[in-house]
Amino acid sequence: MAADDATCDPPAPYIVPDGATWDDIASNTGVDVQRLLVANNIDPNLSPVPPPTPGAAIVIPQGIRNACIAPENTNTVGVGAVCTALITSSHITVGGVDFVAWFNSKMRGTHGGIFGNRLGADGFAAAWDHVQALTGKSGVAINEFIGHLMIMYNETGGTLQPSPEIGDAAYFFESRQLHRADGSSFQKASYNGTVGNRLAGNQLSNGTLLPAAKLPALQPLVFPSPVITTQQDVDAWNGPTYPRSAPADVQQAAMECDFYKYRGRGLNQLTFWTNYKRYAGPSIQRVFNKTVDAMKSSELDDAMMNPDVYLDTFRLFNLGTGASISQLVAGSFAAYGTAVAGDSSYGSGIYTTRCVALRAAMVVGGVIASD
Amino acid sequence: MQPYIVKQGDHLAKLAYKFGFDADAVWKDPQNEQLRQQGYLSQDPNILNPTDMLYIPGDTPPTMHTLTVGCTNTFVSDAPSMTLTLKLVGQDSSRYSSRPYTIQELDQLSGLKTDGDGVLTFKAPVTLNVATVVFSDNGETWVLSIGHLDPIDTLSGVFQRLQNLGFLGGELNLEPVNLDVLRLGLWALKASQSGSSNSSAPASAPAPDSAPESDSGADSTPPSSGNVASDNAGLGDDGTLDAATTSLLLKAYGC
Repeated sequence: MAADDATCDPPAPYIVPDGATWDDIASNTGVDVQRLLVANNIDPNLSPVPPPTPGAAIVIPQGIRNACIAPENTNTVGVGAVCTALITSSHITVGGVDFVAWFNSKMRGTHGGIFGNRLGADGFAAAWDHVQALTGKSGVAINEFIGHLMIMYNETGGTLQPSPEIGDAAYFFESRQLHRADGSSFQKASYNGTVGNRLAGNQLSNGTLLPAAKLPALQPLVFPSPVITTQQDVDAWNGPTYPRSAPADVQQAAMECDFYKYRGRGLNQLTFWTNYKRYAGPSIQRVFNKTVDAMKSSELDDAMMNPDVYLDTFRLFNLGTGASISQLVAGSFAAYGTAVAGDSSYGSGIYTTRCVALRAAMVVGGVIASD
Repeated sequence: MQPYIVKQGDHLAKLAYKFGFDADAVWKDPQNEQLRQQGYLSQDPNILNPTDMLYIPGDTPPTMHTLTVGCTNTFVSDAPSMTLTLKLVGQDSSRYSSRPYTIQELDQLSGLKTDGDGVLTFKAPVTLNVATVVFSDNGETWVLSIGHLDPIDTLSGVFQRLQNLGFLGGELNLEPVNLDVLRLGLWALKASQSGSSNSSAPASAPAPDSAPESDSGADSTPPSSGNVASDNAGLGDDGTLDAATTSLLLKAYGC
């Protein structure tokens, strides 16, 4: 499809998931409830507001755009004016050059400071030759392509391989200060007990030293019998510093605890127990007939390398988080980057810088996408 | 006459109503003509630059009205109107044609619809600062800051036009001033106007890539200038837009 005659795809119809409320949909799409209702011909003043129908296709309104204008003149405003192609596969050229080769030479040659890593051709094809599985759409506008690609690029170090996050148990257990490609630094949070993860001390003791009220949070119990039995050990494994002096068998068992088992994997480096259950769980159940809870950490490593799993995980994560695809399509990268990474300094910083530079270079170079 | 320093959002019709002077007479006043020639005042009364200087008549005594005690006294002030015109363009030429919309701040206006070319036009009192256009069919919303467009010979004016046209993302800010960001938008504008972006590089496009391929897998390369190439997209390092690019941007944006 030539750049000149291509059209941007409108946002794909949003299918109401089972049990979703208007609040859920608003949260998932980044559009406030009032606008959502108006866009779907529902009076927001109704009481009660009729719930969305599961399985129904509903309209997700475009994002709010701002424009400074002059009276008594014609002011031309555009949506997605930079969108020049519909991406349906990995068969993309820029200026007649294969996209990956162009990226690794052109973009890295002129923007080495922000694109430190080469783009992996195999990973690129494996992801983008399955646009439907990856995004839930038959094709995506160039802004959405760029937005997703730069997330994958960042999360996988450019390889676009869904490999497990690299690091030893202590790395995932503790908070660390890390540096980005642009030289800025950020604090990597501990994975122990944060977001949806359970604390290792509680898991290793099977909750036996916890107040009864907190027991349900531990279900299902991870180990057949408690691996640690003293309050001192529980405190250590619930603490901020990895217990390096713990016995080897306890450290081995700890690698089945959430902080390590649910480390980053997949194209967007899915992390945390609750996210795995929600976004990787459905495809893992379908392909392996197991829950993520029933898998050992090493099994999860293998499962997440399965294309049916990591592509669907990427799709579900974008559908299920606050990541606003409509804002992304309109060219507002920051909100999407922040929603996916959970870090506004990243979303508004290096992520947006990369996206804007890549978009401009692709448009200038002339994008051709074909099936 | 006394000097007035223009603020963001000012335009002549609004100032004329606010201060009670004849807009046309003031604009043509020799003192203002001189300021325009000296570059202290913009060329278009509807696109003033904050910090522009404008001579306006001195304070006039307020009009006295009589009040009747013991009953409601009703006064009506009819602000003159201005015409606001927005041409919306999407990838599909029909995307904005004949679509119903409302203006949130002017709920007395009804039956509004874009024309076949996606142009929406409505009249509003000159005192209106913000107009919120909401497309009734899908909720798409445009918040228009009236009188906030800066002249094209300012960096902010170039930035605003590129952003309005969609060549720069809505998330970007001009501050701190970054010429490379503006150049990205200008390259995109030129590519869109070249007509054959996939066959050969547009006139203003970067030179063919000659940079060696790096094998470094680490983020160790020093930051580049941010340019896609050495072409300055018509924007000099002193922030001056060349005549051809100015003309292109004016034609694309409309003013």
